[in-house]
Amino acid sequence: MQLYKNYYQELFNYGVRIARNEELTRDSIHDLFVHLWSKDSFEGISNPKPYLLKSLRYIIIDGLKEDSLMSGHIELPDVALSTEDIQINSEINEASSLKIKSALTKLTNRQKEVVYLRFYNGLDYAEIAEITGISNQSVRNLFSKAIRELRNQMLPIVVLSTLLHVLTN
Amino acid sequence: MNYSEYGVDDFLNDESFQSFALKQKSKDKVFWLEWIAKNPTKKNEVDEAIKILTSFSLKDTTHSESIIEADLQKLQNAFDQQKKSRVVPIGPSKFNWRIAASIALLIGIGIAAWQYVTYFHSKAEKVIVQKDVPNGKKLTFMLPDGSLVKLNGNSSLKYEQNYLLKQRKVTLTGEAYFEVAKDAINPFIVISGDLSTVALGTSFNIKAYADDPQIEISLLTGKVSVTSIRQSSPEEYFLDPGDGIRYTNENSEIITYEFNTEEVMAWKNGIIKFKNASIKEVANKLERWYGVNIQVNNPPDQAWKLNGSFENESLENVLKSISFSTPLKYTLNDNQLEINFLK
Repeated sequence: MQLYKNYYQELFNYGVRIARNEELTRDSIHDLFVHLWSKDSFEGISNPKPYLLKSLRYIIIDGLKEDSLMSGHIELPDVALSTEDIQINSEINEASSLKIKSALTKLTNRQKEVVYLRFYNGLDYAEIAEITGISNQSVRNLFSKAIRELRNQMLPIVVLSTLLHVLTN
Repeated sequence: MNYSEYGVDDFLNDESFQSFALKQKSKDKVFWLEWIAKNPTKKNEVDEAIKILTSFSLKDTTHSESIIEADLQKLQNAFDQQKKSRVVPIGPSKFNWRIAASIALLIGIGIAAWQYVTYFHSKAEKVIVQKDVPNGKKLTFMLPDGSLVKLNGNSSLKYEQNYLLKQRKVTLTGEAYFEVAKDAINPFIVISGDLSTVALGTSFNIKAYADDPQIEISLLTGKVSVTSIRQSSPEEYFLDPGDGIRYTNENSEIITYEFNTEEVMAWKNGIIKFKNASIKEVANKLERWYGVNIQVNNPPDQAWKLNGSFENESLENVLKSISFSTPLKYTLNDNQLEINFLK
């Protein structure tokens, strides 16, 4: 129960981003824990987060495939990262905030997922590779590109703030 | 890795640096705070990288408590039912197709989980090593990673035998001085009561006797982070050399202060030192130091304080010195010391 309570929010938030469907996410979390509890030994795993996220991801993708077969077209998981999900640091002005938001929402699906797992879930590259089923190096590259994108948007801000800093001192 | 040649992009792509900027792992924070302090010329690059990494955060899609509760209840029901029947229920249900579809997949996950679990179980046969030091004794020894520990009287230190394979984690009751072997990858963690102290390569003293009302941690060199393990999102305290932290067990209150090195480290050098010590503190210290049980009769009032230090003195000499200022009589049988203060 503790495991469920501790990880529900994180699982739900991740799930709903790839499933884009609250019902499916809730059902998938349900299925995940029903499965886990049929095995008593799970409590012994010292770092359950990556394992839980990975399992949830599979269950959701499977659910999505089923859905799409039924409705006749295939929809692959797509990471939802909308401007409402992004909170910009209050020190950053509005014009730059918009730029950062647009840079983040324009990332590719894979990049969004990696950024999400790294920033929001606090997972490391190896764990992200494990969850998404891509190589460690690919995670590194995806993250690197995403960050570069972000930096390009930030560049004028940083230069400006440094300049202000110099001027005011 | 040569961090001194890092540019902003290198910092941005460094996993450990990200973790530091995003406040994720204590050991990275400890490492980078120390590194930044030593490399002031890199301040601009570091600041810019931090600024970029912290420019945004991702919001929680808040989910009401009632939905979580409802889902948990549903899960509990499914679980109870499963316990009874010992099979996954595949009765007629709205979500039947999904459960059915999941089963095949779950078998796959099951195999993975089984391997995962058995892997951990094979590792889980942990052998705990415990070093105990009785009252009146001290013990200096080296941990498998080369870190040096000096344990004071009435103290014990526990750690797993395969300590090097995983994180370097030890559990302390009582008092110990640590000189941690440098290892930037594996943090050294001491659990003492409610507090967790994370270090990379430092020396520090922890005093956490079960019968003391507080825990004291004093940092001599390097940097450590201290957090309470009782709170779910505890505040993290970073100590610089000379900083001490005092945690009051009763109300979980933490204060930081500058400690007196000589005072804190005296025990390690065979010096018993009292500074404004109450009769209870004196008795506790003497018990641990000389390995005796002390009974105090007719104790002096609250205002009574003892100051002074004794270097490799016998218990009798210590008692005699105390009796010069406060008249007392004592009897010592085996390990039982009875002190009678005379009014």
